[in-house]
Amino acid sequence: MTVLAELQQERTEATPTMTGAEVVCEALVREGADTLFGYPGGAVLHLYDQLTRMRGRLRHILARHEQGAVHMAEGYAKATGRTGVVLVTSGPGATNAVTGIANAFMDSTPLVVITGQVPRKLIGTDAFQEVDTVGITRPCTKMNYLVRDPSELATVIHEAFHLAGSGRPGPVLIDIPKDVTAERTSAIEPAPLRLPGYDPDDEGDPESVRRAVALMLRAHRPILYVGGGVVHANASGELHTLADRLGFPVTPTLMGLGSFPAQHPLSLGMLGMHGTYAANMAISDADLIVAIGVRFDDRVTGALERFAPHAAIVHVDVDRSSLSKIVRADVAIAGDARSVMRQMLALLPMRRDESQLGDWWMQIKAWQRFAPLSFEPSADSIKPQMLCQELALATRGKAIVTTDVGQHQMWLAQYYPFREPRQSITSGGLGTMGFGLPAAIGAQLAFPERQVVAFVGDGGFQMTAQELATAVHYGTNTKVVVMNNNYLGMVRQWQQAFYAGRYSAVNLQGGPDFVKLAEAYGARGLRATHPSELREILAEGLGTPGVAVMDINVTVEENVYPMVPPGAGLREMVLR
Amino acid sequence: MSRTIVVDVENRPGELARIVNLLAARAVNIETLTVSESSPDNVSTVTVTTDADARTTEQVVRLLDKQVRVLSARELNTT
Repeated sequence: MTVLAELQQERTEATPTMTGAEVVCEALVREGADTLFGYPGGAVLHLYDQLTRMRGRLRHILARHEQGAVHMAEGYAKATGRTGVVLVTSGPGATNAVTGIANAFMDSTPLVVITGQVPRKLIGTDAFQEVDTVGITRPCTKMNYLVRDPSELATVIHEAFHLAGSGRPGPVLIDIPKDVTAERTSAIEPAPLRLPGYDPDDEGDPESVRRAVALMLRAHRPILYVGGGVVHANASGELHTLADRLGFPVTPTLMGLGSFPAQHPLSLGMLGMHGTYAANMAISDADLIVAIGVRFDDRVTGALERFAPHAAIVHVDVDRSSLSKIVRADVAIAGDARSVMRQMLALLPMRRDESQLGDWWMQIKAWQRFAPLSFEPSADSIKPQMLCQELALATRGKAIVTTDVGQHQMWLAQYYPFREPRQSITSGGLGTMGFGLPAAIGAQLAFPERQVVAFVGDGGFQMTAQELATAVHYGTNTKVVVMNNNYLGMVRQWQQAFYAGRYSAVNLQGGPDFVKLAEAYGARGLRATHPSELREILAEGLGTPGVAVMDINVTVEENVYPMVPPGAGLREMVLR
Repeated sequence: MSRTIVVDVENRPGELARIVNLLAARAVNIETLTVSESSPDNVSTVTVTTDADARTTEQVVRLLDKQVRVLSARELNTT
């Protein structure tokens, strides 16, 4: 070897380089990712090639559609509390992912989504499979990047994971041109985080917390209204202690299900449009609402001008822009739900004088007796509510259950006694049909030993049913319970109630035979059409190793009650 | 009545679009828009005047302030 060649070799050894694709994969491992959900294509070929060298370190799950991949990552993230990772190609790969990204944005799920982009010199030329991905996803990501140089990759990925998982979590997208993944760089390690404009609150302002606690000790008709923020902050333990020590009733939102055990004596069940009568009456009559990790969604408040007219409002949220956004808070506390509840607990006496709440609880119990959740049982038709109760029995209330959006979602929220956070995985804010099955696959891949059930309607199931192939291919034990009423049930219910029964485009009859569909994918298919078969079919389906689809034919025109009609206040519930 | 919003933001590609999109998504009409750069820190100052009402303006300011690359967002007090 010549002296010059030796020198050159020394220099290369001194500054090792990697391709952009190598940097990306190593960075993902460094950030703690073990699983990617994705779909390949031209712009991500270098990345997929690099994945062949990552066996045992990064597992790639091939979905059958990019929307499915993102929902899987979200199911994985929601079940574990860790950031889900997605890899898709440019153009249609990115646009197909948008529904999933928007869903994660609305429900504050931490995701890092990597999209391929056309090579740098082709950007802006309407190249094959080119789309302005950062432009399209700007309004539905917490942050997004177009990486113009491979030397930025390690730092951008480090930043992306930090942003996705901290503060109010959310999806972060990284768009990487194909040639950036091929080019070599010596910037293998990330630079230290430099985010001068980003500093999420942790502890709340102590003076505000003191004022909140003073209100809590004075209140005669208090209620804790809790949501997804409690789940994200892993603050269920603190919530439990707080509720127990104060003796306050607790009502969770859809996203807060499981953050407080449904069967706890202090739980009133979910509030809002299809919430319990007691929860809605209690929040309407309260003199103090302690709102933690919630955003006063329109499905929760009903008509705003009639919402909780007598209540002082304490609002705790990690997202400052949520405070007083919808309902003006008397005490607004920007902070992490767990940290703020700990601050509250430090100021509270160990036991509160319970006599102060005696009348309030008498009133609440009267509401509970007056209108408990109920439905008319049937001897010859499977009532969807009964299906939810039987599913709870068959899984002993311990399954992770995912849903789509609609009637089945509301009935499950009403009748499945979620006891732990991260047990209910649902599409709340965006209300995405087709979320349930892929989300269940993601949760099942995170927890192979747990019972995971996708509880879906016959409409939503058909939007992502192709992911049965993914569930089977990876040998998961995912179970699908299709609440099949041959209708787009919630839309039908609204057409019945508010459009004089003129059904328009809601009939799904003539759809595929779900048992045969399951079998076509190599899964087991079962069907129940009569109440006498239900228990047995559920037991058999849930007990089948591998993937099973249970097609449960339920009463076709059953409606979800109670219901707060659109535009009405929470007191104006229609009971049935 | 016009209100004035002042945003200090890291000078990077796409950040002005983020600010303008956020206003557009909430149907806030922009009357005037000025962007100036203070070079030592690589920070841009974006000044927007709008006819949005007080509550909308307050919300928009909080949303702007929340953006990762935004260093500060505030409404200028009108006297």
